[in-house]
Amino acid sequence: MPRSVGAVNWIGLATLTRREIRRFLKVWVQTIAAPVVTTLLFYAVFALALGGVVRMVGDVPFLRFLGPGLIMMAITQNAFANTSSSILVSKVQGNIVDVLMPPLSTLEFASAFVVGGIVRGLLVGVVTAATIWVVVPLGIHSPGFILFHAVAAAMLLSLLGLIGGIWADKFDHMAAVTNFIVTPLAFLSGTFYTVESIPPLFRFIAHLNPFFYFIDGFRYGFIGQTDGTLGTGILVLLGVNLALWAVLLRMLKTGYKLKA
Amino acid sequence: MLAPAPSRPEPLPAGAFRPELDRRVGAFHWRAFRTLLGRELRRVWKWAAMLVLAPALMAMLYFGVFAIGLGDNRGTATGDAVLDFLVPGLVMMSILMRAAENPGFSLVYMKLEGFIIDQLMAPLGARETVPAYALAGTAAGMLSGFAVWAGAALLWWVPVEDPLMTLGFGLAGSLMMALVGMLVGIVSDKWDHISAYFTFLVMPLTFLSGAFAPVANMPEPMRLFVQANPIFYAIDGFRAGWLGTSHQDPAVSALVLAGSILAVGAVVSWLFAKGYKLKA
Repeated sequence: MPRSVGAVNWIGLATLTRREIRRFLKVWVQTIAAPVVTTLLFYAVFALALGGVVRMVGDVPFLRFLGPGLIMMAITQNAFANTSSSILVSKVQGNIVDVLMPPLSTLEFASAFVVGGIVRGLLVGVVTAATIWVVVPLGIHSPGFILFHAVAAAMLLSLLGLIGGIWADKFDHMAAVTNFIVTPLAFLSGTFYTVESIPPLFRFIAHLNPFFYFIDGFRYGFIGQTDGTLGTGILVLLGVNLALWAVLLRMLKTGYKLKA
Repeated sequence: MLAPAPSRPEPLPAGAFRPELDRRVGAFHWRAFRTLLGRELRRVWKWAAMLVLAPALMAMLYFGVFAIGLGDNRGTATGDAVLDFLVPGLVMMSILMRAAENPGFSLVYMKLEGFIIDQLMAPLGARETVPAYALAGTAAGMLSGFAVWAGAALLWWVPVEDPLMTLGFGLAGSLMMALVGMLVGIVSDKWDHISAYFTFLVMPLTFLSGAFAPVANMPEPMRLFVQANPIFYAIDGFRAGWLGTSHQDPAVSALVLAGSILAVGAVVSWLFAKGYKLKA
Protein backbone atom coordinates (compact mmCIF):
# COMPACT_ATOMS: atom_id res chain seq x y z
CA MET A 1 0.00 0.00 0.00
CA PRO A 2 1.71 3.17 -1.15
CA ARG A 3 2.01 5.72 1.61
CA SER A 4 4.05 8.36 -0.15
CA VAL A 5 3.12 11.98 0.35
CA GLY A 6 3.61 14.62 -2.31
CA ALA A 7 5.73 17.72 -2.03
CA VAL A 8 3.19 19.03 0.44
CA ASN A 9 1.39 16.77 2.88
CA TRP A 10 -1.95 18.49 2.38
CA ILE A 11 -3.94 16.09 4.53
CA GLY A 12 -1.53 16.47 7.42
CA LEU A 13 -1.39 20.22 7.08
CA ALA A 14 -5.18 20.54 6.92
CA THR A 15 -5.64 18.20 9.88
CA LEU A 16 -3.24 20.04 12.14
CA THR A 17 -4.62 23.42 11.08
CA ARG A 18 -8.13 22.25 11.83
CA ARG A 19 -7.01 21.02 15.24
CA GLU A 20 -5.42 24.39 16.00
CA ILE A 21 -8.62 26.22 15.11
CA ARG A 22 -10.96 23.83 16.91
CA ARG A 23 -8.75 23.99 19.96
CA PHE A 24 -9.63 27.61 20.65
CA LEU A 25 -13.16 27.56 19.23
CA LYS A 26 -14.13 24.88 21.73
CA VAL A 27 -13.45 27.32 24.57
CA TRP A 28 -14.64 30.42 22.72
CA VAL A 29 -15.87 32.08 25.89
CA GLN A 30 -12.28 32.31 27.07
CA THR A 31 -10.57 32.74 23.72
CA ILE A 32 -12.95 35.09 21.90
CA ALA A 33 -15.52 36.57 24.27
CA ALA A 34 -13.12 37.30 27.15
CA PRO A 35 -10.58 39.28 25.10
CA VAL A 36 -13.39 41.21 23.41
CA VAL A 37 -14.85 42.24 26.76
CA THR A 38 -11.41 43.18 28.09
CA THR A 39 -10.69 45.31 25.02
CA LEU A 40 -14.03 47.09 25.30
CA LEU A 41 -13.29 47.82 28.96
CA PHE A 42 -9.97 49.33 27.96
CA TYR A 43 -11.74 51.38 25.34
CA ALA A 44 -14.26 52.71 27.84
CA VAL A 45 -11.68 53.44 30.51
CA PHE A 46 -9.12 55.09 28.27
CA ALA A 47 -11.76 57.07 26.42
CA LEU A 48 -13.07 58.43 29.72
CA ALA A 49 -9.70 59.08 31.27
CA LEU A 50 -7.89 60.54 28.30
CA GLY A 51 -10.35 63.26 27.55
CA GLY A 52 -12.96 61.32 25.67
CA VAL A 53 -15.34 62.80 23.24
CA VAL A 54 -14.05 66.29 22.72
CA ARG A 55 -10.35 65.68 22.18
CA MET A 56 -8.90 65.51 18.69
CA VAL A 57 -5.75 63.80 17.47
CA GLY A 58 -4.77 65.57 14.29
CA ASP A 59 -7.99 65.74 12.28
CA VAL A 60 -9.79 62.82 13.91
CA PRO A 61 -11.62 62.52 17.24
CA PHE A 62 -9.67 60.65 19.91
CA LEU A 63 -12.24 57.84 20.01
CA ARG A 64 -11.65 57.05 16.35
CA PHE A 65 -7.91 57.25 16.88
CA LEU A 66 -8.00 54.87 19.84
CA GLY A 67 -10.29 52.23 18.29
CA PRO A 68 -7.93 50.75 15.67
CA GLY A 69 -5.03 50.71 18.15
CA LEU A 70 -7.02 48.67 20.65
CA ILE A 71 -8.33 46.32 17.97
CA MET A 72 -4.76 45.72 16.87
CA MET A 73 -3.69 45.09 20.47
CA ALA A 74 -6.41 42.47 20.78
CA ILE A 75 -5.39 40.80 17.50
CA THR A 76 -1.73 40.57 18.47
CA GLN A 77 -2.26 39.45 22.06
CA ASN A 78 -4.57 36.66 20.99
CA ALA A 79 -2.43 35.47 18.11
CA PHE A 80 0.47 35.26 20.56
CA ALA A 81 -1.59 33.57 23.26
CA ASN A 82 -2.92 30.96 20.84
CA THR A 83 0.32 29.58 19.48
CA SER A 84 2.29 29.90 22.71
CA SER A 85 -0.33 28.18 24.85
CA SER A 86 -0.96 25.46 22.28
CA ILE A 87 2.66 24.41 22.02
CA LEU A 88 3.35 24.79 25.73
CA VAL A 89 0.31 22.80 26.83
CA SER A 90 1.28 20.03 24.38
CA LYS A 91 4.80 20.03 25.78
CA VAL A 92 3.76 20.01 29.42
CA GLN A 93 1.13 17.31 28.88
CA GLY A 94 3.40 15.27 26.65
CA ASN A 95 1.04 14.98 23.70
CA ILE A 96 3.50 16.96 21.57
CA VAL A 97 4.72 13.59 20.24
CA ASP A 98 1.42 13.24 18.41
CA VAL A 99 2.36 16.14 16.17
CA LEU A 100 6.08 15.38 15.99
CA MET A 101 5.65 11.78 14.86
CA PRO A 102 3.47 12.23 11.74
CA PRO A 103 5.12 12.90 8.38
CA LEU A 104 4.91 16.68 8.58
CA SER A 105 7.73 18.90 7.41
CA THR A 106 8.89 21.72 9.66
CA LEU A 107 7.22 24.23 7.37
CA GLU A 108 3.90 22.36 7.43
CA PHE A 109 4.14 21.97 11.20
CA ALA A 110 4.81 25.68 11.73
CA SER A 111 2.23 26.84 9.17
CA ALA A 112 -0.60 24.97 10.86
CA PHE A 113 0.14 26.63 14.21
CA VAL A 114 0.64 30.06 12.65
CA VAL A 115 -2.64 29.84 10.75
CA GLY A 116 -4.40 28.90 14.00
CA GLY A 117 -2.94 31.99 15.68
CA ILE A 118 -3.85 34.27 12.79
CA VAL A 119 -7.44 32.99 12.67
CA ARG A 120 -7.93 33.55 16.38
CA GLY A 121 -6.36 37.01 16.24
CA LEU A 122 -8.51 38.07 13.29
CA LEU A 123 -11.69 36.63 14.82
CA VAL A 124 -11.14 38.58 18.03
CA GLY A 125 -10.30 41.64 15.94
CA VAL A 126 -13.46 41.42 13.83
CA VAL A 127 -15.76 40.91 16.81
CA THR A 128 -14.10 43.76 18.73
CA ALA A 129 -14.29 46.07 15.72
CA ALA A 130 -17.95 45.25 15.14
CA THR A 131 -18.78 45.97 18.78
CA ILE A 132 -16.89 49.26 18.84
CA TRP A 133 -18.52 50.21 15.54
CA VAL A 134 -21.95 50.15 17.15
CA VAL A 135 -20.91 53.03 19.41
CA VAL A 136 -18.23 54.79 17.36
CA PRO A 137 -18.25 54.28 13.57
CA LEU A 138 -14.56 54.04 12.80
CA GLY A 139 -14.77 54.60 9.03
CA ILE A 140 -12.60 52.87 6.46
CA HIS A 141 -9.96 54.69 4.47
CA SER A 142 -8.13 51.80 2.83
CA PRO A 143 -9.25 48.17 3.25
CA GLY A 144 -5.98 46.87 1.82
CA PHE A 145 -3.93 48.49 4.58
CA ILE A 146 -6.26 47.13 7.25
CA LEU A 147 -6.07 43.59 5.91
CA PHE A 148 -2.32 43.56 5.26
CA HIS A 149 -1.40 44.95 8.66
CA ALA A 150 -3.86 42.74 10.51
CA VAL A 151 -2.51 39.59 8.89
CA ALA A 152 1.14 40.62 9.07
CA ALA A 153 0.84 41.54 12.75
CA ALA A 154 -1.07 38.39 13.62
CA MET A 155 1.55 36.31 11.81
CA LEU A 156 4.40 38.10 13.56
CA LEU A 157 2.92 37.47 16.99
CA SER A 158 1.96 33.90 16.13
CA LEU A 159 5.57 33.25 15.19
CA LEU A 160 6.80 34.92 18.39
CA GLY A 161 4.33 32.81 20.36
CA LEU A 162 5.58 29.61 18.77
CA ILE A 163 9.21 30.51 19.38
CA GLY A 164 8.41 31.49 22.96
CA GLY A 165 6.32 28.36 23.50
CA ILE A 166 9.11 26.12 22.23
CA TRP A 167 11.67 27.88 24.40
CA ALA A 168 9.58 27.95 27.61
CA ASP A 169 9.69 24.93 29.91
CA LYS A 170 6.81 25.93 32.14
CA PHE A 171 3.93 28.34 32.37
CA ASP A 172 5.92 30.77 34.53
CA HIS A 173 8.37 31.29 31.67
CA MET A 174 5.54 32.08 29.29
CA ALA A 175 3.92 34.46 31.77
CA ALA A 176 7.24 36.24 32.08
CA VAL A 177 7.57 36.62 28.29
CA THR A 178 4.00 37.96 28.10
CA ASN A 179 4.36 40.34 31.04
CA PHE A 180 7.84 41.63 30.43
CA ILE A 181 8.19 41.61 26.63
CA VAL A 182 4.91 41.42 24.73
CA THR A 183 2.72 43.66 26.91
CA PRO A 184 5.30 46.49 27.23
CA LEU A 185 5.94 46.45 23.47
CA ALA A 186 2.20 46.59 22.84
CA PHE A 187 1.58 49.37 25.34
CA LEU A 188 4.46 51.60 24.28
CA SER A 189 3.67 51.47 20.60
CA GLY A 190 1.39 54.39 19.98
CA THR A 191 -1.84 52.53 20.67
CA PHE A 192 -3.03 55.17 23.08
CA TYR A 193 -1.29 58.30 21.82
CA THR A 194 0.29 59.67 18.72
CA VAL A 195 4.06 59.40 18.86
CA GLU A 196 4.22 62.87 17.30
CA SER A 197 3.39 64.22 20.72
CA ILE A 198 6.18 62.57 22.68
CA PRO A 199 9.74 63.75 23.34
CA PRO A 200 12.22 63.00 20.50
CA LEU A 201 14.18 60.35 22.38
CA PHE A 202 11.03 58.33 23.11
CA ARG A 203 9.82 58.86 19.57
CA PHE A 204 13.07 57.34 18.32
CA ILE A 205 12.62 54.35 20.64
CA ALA A 206 9.02 53.94 19.47
CA HIS A 207 10.25 53.78 15.89
CA LEU A 208 12.44 50.80 16.83
CA ASN A 209 9.39 48.88 18.03
CA PRO A 210 7.79 46.71 15.33
CA PHE A 211 4.48 47.08 17.15
CA PHE A 212 4.53 50.75 16.29
CA TYR A 213 4.51 50.02 12.56
CA PHE A 214 1.62 47.64 12.46
CA ILE A 215 -0.52 49.77 14.72
CA ASP A 216 0.29 52.85 12.69
CA GLY A 217 -0.37 51.18 9.33
CA PHE A 218 -3.52 49.48 10.59
CA ARG A 219 -4.82 52.77 11.93
CA TYR A 220 -3.99 54.47 8.65
CA GLY A 221 -6.31 51.98 6.98
CA PHE A 222 -9.15 53.34 9.12
CA ILE A 223 -8.48 57.05 9.55
CA GLY A 224 -6.07 57.86 6.72
CA GLN A 225 -3.61 59.51 9.08
CA THR A 226 -0.15 58.23 9.90
CA ASP A 227 2.59 58.88 12.46
CA GLY A 228 5.38 57.25 10.53
CA THR A 229 6.34 56.22 7.05
CA LEU A 230 3.99 53.63 5.64
CA GLY A 231 6.53 52.17 3.20
CA THR A 232 9.11 51.69 5.94
CA GLY A 233 6.45 50.08 8.10
CA ILE A 234 5.59 47.51 5.44
CA LEU A 235 9.26 46.69 4.89
CA VAL A 236 9.85 46.34 8.65
CA LEU A 237 6.88 44.00 8.98
CA LEU A 238 7.95 41.83 6.05
CA GLY A 239 11.55 41.76 7.29
CA VAL A 240 10.67 40.85 10.89
CA ASN A 241 8.24 38.17 9.72
CA LEU A 242 10.88 36.63 7.45
CA ALA A 243 13.49 36.70 10.19
CA LEU A 244 11.13 35.03 12.67
CA TRP A 245 10.20 32.35 10.11
CA ALA A 246 13.90 31.63 9.64
CA VAL A 247 14.52 31.36 13.38
CA LEU A 248 11.47 29.17 13.91
CA LEU A 249 12.24 26.78 11.05
CA ARG A 250 15.82 26.48 12.30
CA MET A 251 14.56 25.65 15.79
CA LEU A 252 12.18 23.03 14.42
CA LYS A 253 14.81 21.51 12.15
CA THR A 254 17.27 21.03 15.00
CA GLY A 255 14.47 19.81 17.29
CA TYR A 256 15.43 22.46 19.87
CA LYS A 257 13.67 21.60 23.17
CA LEU A 258 11.10 19.55 21.27
CA LYS A 259 12.91 16.39 20.28
CA ALA A 260 15.73 16.54 22.83
CA MET B 1 2.35 13.43 72.75
CA LEU B 2 0.37 10.46 71.54
CA ALA B 3 2.50 7.96 73.44
CA PRO B 4 0.56 6.00 76.09
CA ALA B 5 0.75 7.28 79.62
CA PRO B 6 3.69 5.65 81.46
CA SER B 7 1.39 4.26 84.13
CA ARG B 8 -0.45 2.09 81.61
CA PRO B 9 0.76 -1.51 81.62
CA GLU B 10 -0.27 -2.51 78.09
CA PRO B 11 0.03 -0.11 75.11
CA LEU B 12 -3.28 0.26 73.30
CA PRO B 13 -3.46 -0.65 69.62
CA ALA B 14 -3.33 2.22 67.15
CA GLY B 15 -6.64 3.97 66.74
CA ALA B 16 -8.01 2.70 70.03
CA PHE B 17 -10.30 4.94 72.03
CA ARG B 18 -8.21 6.95 74.47
CA PRO B 19 -10.68 8.67 76.71
CA GLU B 20 -8.00 10.52 78.68
CA LEU B 21 -6.63 12.42 75.67
CA ASP B 22 -8.02 15.89 75.56
CA ARG B 23 -8.91 16.70 71.96
CA ARG B 24 -11.34 19.49 72.68
CA VAL B 25 -10.75 22.76 70.92
CA GLY B 26 -11.88 26.09 72.20
CA ALA B 27 -14.46 28.30 70.61
CA PHE B 28 -11.76 29.29 68.14
CA HIS B 29 -9.17 26.73 67.11
CA TRP B 30 -6.09 28.89 67.10
CA ARG B 31 -3.60 26.25 66.10
CA ALA B 32 -5.59 25.13 63.07
CA PHE B 33 -6.16 28.74 62.09
CA ARG B 34 -2.44 29.53 62.36
CA THR B 35 -1.51 26.44 60.37
CA LEU B 36 -3.88 27.18 57.53
CA LEU B 37 -2.95 30.86 57.49
CA GLY B 38 0.72 29.89 57.46
CA ARG B 39 0.22 27.61 54.50
CA GLU B 40 -1.71 30.25 52.57
CA LEU B 41 0.91 32.90 53.35
CA ARG B 42 3.67 30.59 52.15
CA ARG B 43 1.67 30.23 48.97
CA VAL B 44 1.55 34.01 48.62
CA TRP B 45 5.26 34.17 49.25
CA LYS B 46 5.97 31.54 46.63
CA TRP B 47 4.20 33.67 44.04
CA ALA B 48 5.69 36.91 45.35
CA ALA B 49 7.64 37.61 42.16
CA MET B 50 4.44 37.52 40.12
CA LEU B 51 2.61 39.58 42.74
CA VAL B 52 5.32 42.20 42.82
CA LEU B 53 7.09 42.45 39.48
CA ALA B 54 4.23 42.03 37.01
CA PRO B 55 1.78 44.44 38.70
CA ALA B 56 4.50 47.03 39.27
CA LEU B 57 5.50 46.90 35.61
CA MET B 58 1.88 46.99 34.44
CA ALA B 59 1.22 50.03 36.61
CA MET B 60 4.26 51.79 35.19
CA LEU B 61 3.00 51.03 31.67
CA TYR B 62 -0.46 52.36 32.45
CA PHE B 63 1.09 55.40 34.03
CA GLY B 64 3.37 55.99 31.06
CA VAL B 65 0.49 55.67 28.61
CA PHE B 66 -1.62 58.13 30.57
CA ALA B 67 1.25 60.55 31.03
CA ILE B 68 2.00 60.56 27.30
CA GLY B 69 -1.69 60.51 26.44
CA LEU B 70 -2.18 63.80 28.26
CA GLY B 71 -1.01 65.52 25.09
CA ASP B 72 -1.05 69.28 25.46
CA ASN B 73 -1.93 69.05 29.15
CA ARG B 74 1.41 67.47 30.01
CA GLY B 75 3.39 69.63 32.43
CA THR B 76 0.43 71.86 33.27
CA ALA B 77 -1.44 71.96 36.56
CA THR B 78 -4.38 70.12 34.99
CA GLY B 79 -2.09 67.40 33.69
CA ASP B 80 -0.32 67.01 37.03
CA ALA B 81 -3.67 66.71 38.80
CA VAL B 82 -4.65 63.88 36.45
CA LEU B 83 -1.44 62.02 37.28
CA ASP B 84 -1.85 62.63 41.02
CA PHE B 85 -5.35 61.22 40.71
CA LEU B 86 -4.12 58.21 38.78
CA VAL B 87 -1.46 56.88 41.18
CA PRO B 88 -3.79 55.91 44.07
CA GLY B 89 -6.19 54.41 41.52
CA LEU B 90 -3.49 52.17 40.07
CA VAL B 91 -2.25 51.07 43.50
CA MET B 92 -5.75 50.27 44.69
CA MET B 93 -6.66 48.42 41.49
CA SER B 94 -3.74 46.09 41.93
CA ILE B 95 -4.59 45.57 45.60
CA LEU B 96 -8.18 44.66 44.73
CA MET B 97 -7.39 42.32 41.84
CA ARG B 98 -4.58 40.40 43.58
CA ALA B 99 -6.54 40.12 46.82
CA ALA B 100 -9.41 38.48 44.93
CA GLU B 101 -7.28 36.24 42.74
CA ASN B 102 -5.19 34.69 45.47
CA PRO B 103 -7.83 32.89 47.58
CA GLY B 104 -10.00 32.21 44.54
CA PHE B 105 -7.32 30.36 42.63
CA SER B 106 -6.09 28.66 45.79
CA LEU B 107 -9.52 27.15 46.43
CA VAL B 108 -10.12 26.03 42.84
CA TYR B 109 -6.64 24.54 42.66
CA MET B 110 -7.24 22.55 45.83
CA LYS B 111 -10.62 21.36 44.60
CA LEU B 112 -9.22 20.23 41.25
CA GLU B 113 -6.18 18.51 42.76
CA GLY B 114 -8.36 16.95 45.39
CA PHE B 115 -6.27 17.93 48.39
CA ILE B 116 -8.97 20.20 49.73
CA ILE B 117 -9.85 17.05 51.67
CA ASP B 118 -6.82 17.71 53.90
CA GLN B 119 -8.41 20.89 55.04
CA LEU B 120 -11.97 19.55 55.26
CA MET B 121 -10.87 16.61 57.43
CA ALA B 122 -8.96 18.75 59.90
CA PRO B 123 -10.88 20.13 62.88
CA LEU B 124 -11.46 23.47 61.17
CA GLY B 125 -14.75 25.26 61.01
CA ALA B 126 -15.85 28.17 58.87
CA ARG B 127 -14.80 30.52 61.65
CA GLU B 128 -11.15 29.47 61.29
CA THR B 129 -11.10 28.75 57.55
CA VAL B 130 -12.68 31.95 56.30
CA PRO B 131 -10.41 34.35 58.22
CA ALA B 132 -7.31 32.36 57.27
CA TYR B 133 -8.00 32.58 53.54
CA ALA B 134 -9.28 36.13 53.76
CA LEU B 135 -6.19 37.34 55.63
CA ALA B 136 -3.80 35.65 53.22
CA GLY B 137 -5.66 37.25 50.31
CA THR B 138 -5.47 40.60 52.06
CA ALA B 139 -1.73 40.15 52.47
CA ALA B 140 -1.33 39.30 48.78
CA GLY B 141 -3.27 42.41 47.82
CA MET B 142 -1.26 44.68 50.11
CA LEU B 143 2.03 43.21 48.91
CA SER B 144 1.21 43.99 45.30
CA GLY B 145 -0.10 47.41 46.33
CA PHE B 146 3.26 48.33 47.86
CA ALA B 147 4.99 47.05 44.73
CA VAL B 148 2.82 49.17 42.46
CA TRP B 149 3.41 52.19 44.68
CA ALA B 150 7.17 51.64 44.44
CA GLY B 151 6.96 51.29 40.66
CA ALA B 152 4.81 54.38 40.25
CA ALA B 153 7.02 56.36 42.63
CA LEU B 154 9.91 55.88 40.23
CA LEU B 155 7.93 57.90 37.69
CA TRP B 156 5.75 60.20 39.76
CA TRP B 157 5.78 60.96 43.48
CA VAL B 158 2.47 61.72 45.13
CA PRO B 159 2.75 62.44 48.88
CA VAL B 160 0.36 60.53 51.12
CA GLU B 161 -1.78 62.99 53.08
CA ASP B 162 -3.16 60.65 55.70
CA PRO B 163 -1.18 57.38 55.88
CA LEU B 164 -3.49 55.78 58.44
CA MET B 165 -6.65 56.38 56.47
CA THR B 166 -4.94 55.24 53.28
CA LEU B 167 -3.72 52.05 54.91
CA GLY B 168 -7.12 51.48 56.49
CA PHE B 169 -8.99 51.73 53.19
CA GLY B 170 -6.32 49.63 51.50
CA LEU B 171 -6.79 46.88 54.07
CA ALA B 172 -10.58 47.10 54.00
CA GLY B 173 -10.73 47.00 50.19
CA SER B 174 -8.27 44.14 50.14
CA LEU B 175 -10.30 42.18 52.70
CA MET B 176 -13.53 42.77 50.80
CA MET B 177 -12.04 41.51 47.55
CA ALA B 178 -10.35 38.54 49.25
CA LEU B 179 -13.82 37.48 50.42
CA VAL B 180 -15.22 38.03 46.93
CA GLY B 181 -12.37 35.90 45.58
CA MET B 182 -13.26 33.14 48.05
CA LEU B 183 -16.86 33.30 46.94
CA VAL B 184 -15.79 32.92 43.29
CA GLY B 185 -13.46 30.08 44.27
CA ILE B 186 -16.22 28.21 46.09
CA VAL B 187 -18.78 28.40 43.30
CA SER B 188 -16.26 27.54 40.53
CA ASP B 189 -15.81 23.87 39.61
CA LYS B 190 -13.05 24.35 37.06
CA TRP B 191 -10.58 26.85 35.68
CA ASP B 192 -13.03 27.97 32.98
CA HIS B 193 -15.53 29.03 35.63
CA ILE B 194 -13.14 31.04 37.74
CA SER B 195 -11.58 32.76 34.75
CA ALA B 196 -15.05 33.61 33.42
CA TYR B 197 -16.06 35.11 36.78
CA PHE B 198 -12.91 37.18 36.81
CA THR B 199 -13.14 38.34 33.19
CA PHE B 200 -16.85 39.06 33.04
CA LEU B 201 -17.55 40.15 36.60
CA VAL B 202 -14.60 41.06 38.81
CA MET B 203 -12.52 42.86 36.19
CA PRO B 204 -15.33 45.03 34.78
CA LEU B 205 -16.38 45.99 38.32
CA THR B 206 -12.79 46.88 39.17
CA PHE B 207 -12.20 48.81 35.95
CA LEU B 208 -15.50 50.71 36.05
CA SER B 209 -14.98 52.01 39.54
CA GLY B 210 -13.51 55.45 39.09
CA ALA B 211 -9.98 54.09 39.31
CA PHE B 212 -8.82 55.97 36.23
CA ALA B 213 -11.22 58.84 35.78
CA PRO B 214 -13.13 61.05 38.21
CA VAL B 215 -16.68 59.86 38.56
CA ALA B 216 -17.91 63.45 38.28
CA ASN B 217 -16.78 63.54 34.62
CA MET B 218 -18.74 60.46 33.61
CA PRO B 219 -21.97 60.44 31.63
CA GLU B 220 -25.09 60.01 33.74
CA PRO B 221 -25.94 56.27 33.31
CA MET B 222 -22.35 55.25 33.86
CA ARG B 223 -22.03 57.41 36.95
CA LEU B 224 -25.04 55.74 38.52
CA PHE B 225 -23.58 52.34 37.70
CA VAL B 226 -20.22 53.24 39.20
CA GLN B 227 -21.80 54.66 42.34
CA ALA B 228 -23.71 51.41 42.87
CA ASN B 229 -20.42 49.51 42.77
CA PRO B 230 -18.89 48.91 46.23
CA ILE B 231 -15.42 48.90 44.67
CA PHE B 232 -15.89 52.57 43.85
CA TYR B 233 -16.09 53.31 47.58
CA ALA B 234 -12.90 51.38 48.28
CA ILE B 235 -11.02 53.39 45.67
CA ASP B 236 -12.62 56.68 46.59
CA GLY B 237 -11.87 56.23 50.29
CA PHE B 238 -8.32 55.17 49.51
CA ARG B 239 -7.93 58.29 47.43
CA ALA B 240 -9.44 60.40 50.23
CA GLY B 241 -6.63 59.21 52.48
CA TRP B 242 -3.90 59.58 49.90
CA LEU B 243 -4.82 62.90 48.29
CA GLY B 244 -7.03 64.43 50.95
CA THR B 245 -9.79 64.95 48.36
CA SER B 246 -12.50 62.59 47.24
CA HIS B 247 -15.88 62.42 45.61
CA GLN B 248 -17.67 60.93 48.61
CA ASP B 249 -17.34 61.65 52.28
CA PRO B 250 -14.81 59.01 53.44
CA ALA B 251 -17.14 58.13 56.32
CA VAL B 252 -19.77 57.05 53.79
CA SER B 253 -17.17 55.01 51.92
CA ALA B 254 -16.08 53.36 55.16
CA LEU B 255 -19.67 52.43 55.97
CA VAL B 256 -20.31 50.98 52.51
CA LEU B 257 -17.10 48.97 52.75
CA ALA B 258 -17.88 47.68 56.24
CA GLY B 259 -21.36 46.67 55.10
CA SER B 260 -20.00 44.90 52.01
CA ILE B 261 -17.35 43.06 54.01
CA LEU B 262 -19.95 41.85 56.49
CA ALA B 263 -22.38 40.81 53.77
CA VAL B 264 -19.88 38.93 51.61
CA GLY B 265 -18.19 37.51 54.70
CA ALA B 266 -21.53 36.18 55.96
CA VAL B 267 -22.33 34.52 52.63
CA VAL B 268 -18.87 32.97 52.39
CA SER B 269 -19.01 31.70 55.99
CA TRP B 270 -22.45 30.25 55.41
CA LEU B 271 -21.29 28.44 52.24
CA PHE B 272 -18.22 27.13 54.02
CA ALA B 273 -20.24 25.93 56.98
CA LYS B 274 -22.69 24.21 54.64
CA GLY B 275 -19.85 22.72 52.63
CA TYR B 276 -21.39 24.01 49.40
CA LYS B 277 -19.46 22.52 46.45
CA LEU B 278 -16.74 21.62 48.95
CA LYS B 279 -18.14 18.60 50.76
CA ALA B 280 -20.76 17.56 48.25
